[in-house]
Amino acid sequence: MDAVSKRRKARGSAMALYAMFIGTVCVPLLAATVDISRMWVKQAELANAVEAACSAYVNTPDTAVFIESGRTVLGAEARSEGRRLFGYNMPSGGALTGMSFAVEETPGLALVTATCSGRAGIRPVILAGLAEFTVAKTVTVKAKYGSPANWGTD
Amino acid sequence: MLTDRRAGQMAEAAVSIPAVLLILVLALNVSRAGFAALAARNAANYGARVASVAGSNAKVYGEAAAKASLEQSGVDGGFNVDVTVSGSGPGSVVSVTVGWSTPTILAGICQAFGEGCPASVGGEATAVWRREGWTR
Repeated sequence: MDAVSKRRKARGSAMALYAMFIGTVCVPLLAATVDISRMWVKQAELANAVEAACSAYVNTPDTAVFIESGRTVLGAEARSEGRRLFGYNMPSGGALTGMSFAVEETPGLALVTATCSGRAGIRPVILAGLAEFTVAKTVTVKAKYGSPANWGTD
Repeated sequence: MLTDRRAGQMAEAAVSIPAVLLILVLALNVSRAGFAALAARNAANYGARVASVAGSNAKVYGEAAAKASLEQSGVDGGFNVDVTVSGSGPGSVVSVTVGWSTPTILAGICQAFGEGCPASVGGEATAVWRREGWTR
């Protein structure tokens, strides 16, 4: 092989290396930056939605049951209130997957612990070949309820 | 002969390096926007949470909390906070919206080529909470 042929063969090698670098490092880096940023924001959005839902849930006890029996119960109205707040905070989708509560009764005081879970999916924008990411969040909210005389105070 | 080969490599690098740099600048820009969006989201959440437990002046407390959260985040960019309270007392709903915008680094590069790029990118984050307390 003469010198001219060698030079011709060498020409374009740097370009090929750069193209490989761009394709294997830079573009995936950019894609990851976009999709990971979106995932963080979605996680924060979901965390807020679940917390807001759980707070609404725990703050809507069935007052009729309480007056009648003295028991603290989070019923259908509380669930509906939780779902309403979740919907306000996650207009783009997501699901409130669970709402449950436990009550520890002591004379004159009820300690209510509510646990709520939610999840949301994110379709990657650039890494479109990948499956949908799913983010999930579970929160626990505690509330103390005292005498009915204090209900409804602002 | 050596000079000729070096010149060829230089020309190839001159074509390729700007492409690499452009992608890195894009990545930097996207992460800046991501941080601003996250700061706005956290501020809206915090503001709404504080407003929901405020007995009175929920709007004032919510706005102050959201602004404090933004200040603490240390993210540069423009933010505006809007708090609305519908109804009064427990059971009403407080909504905190934080708008964000962050300058794009690419704007200067676009101008160099005579093309216009948006000078900033932005969005908004809204958090809605129920004001705490029981209703009879």
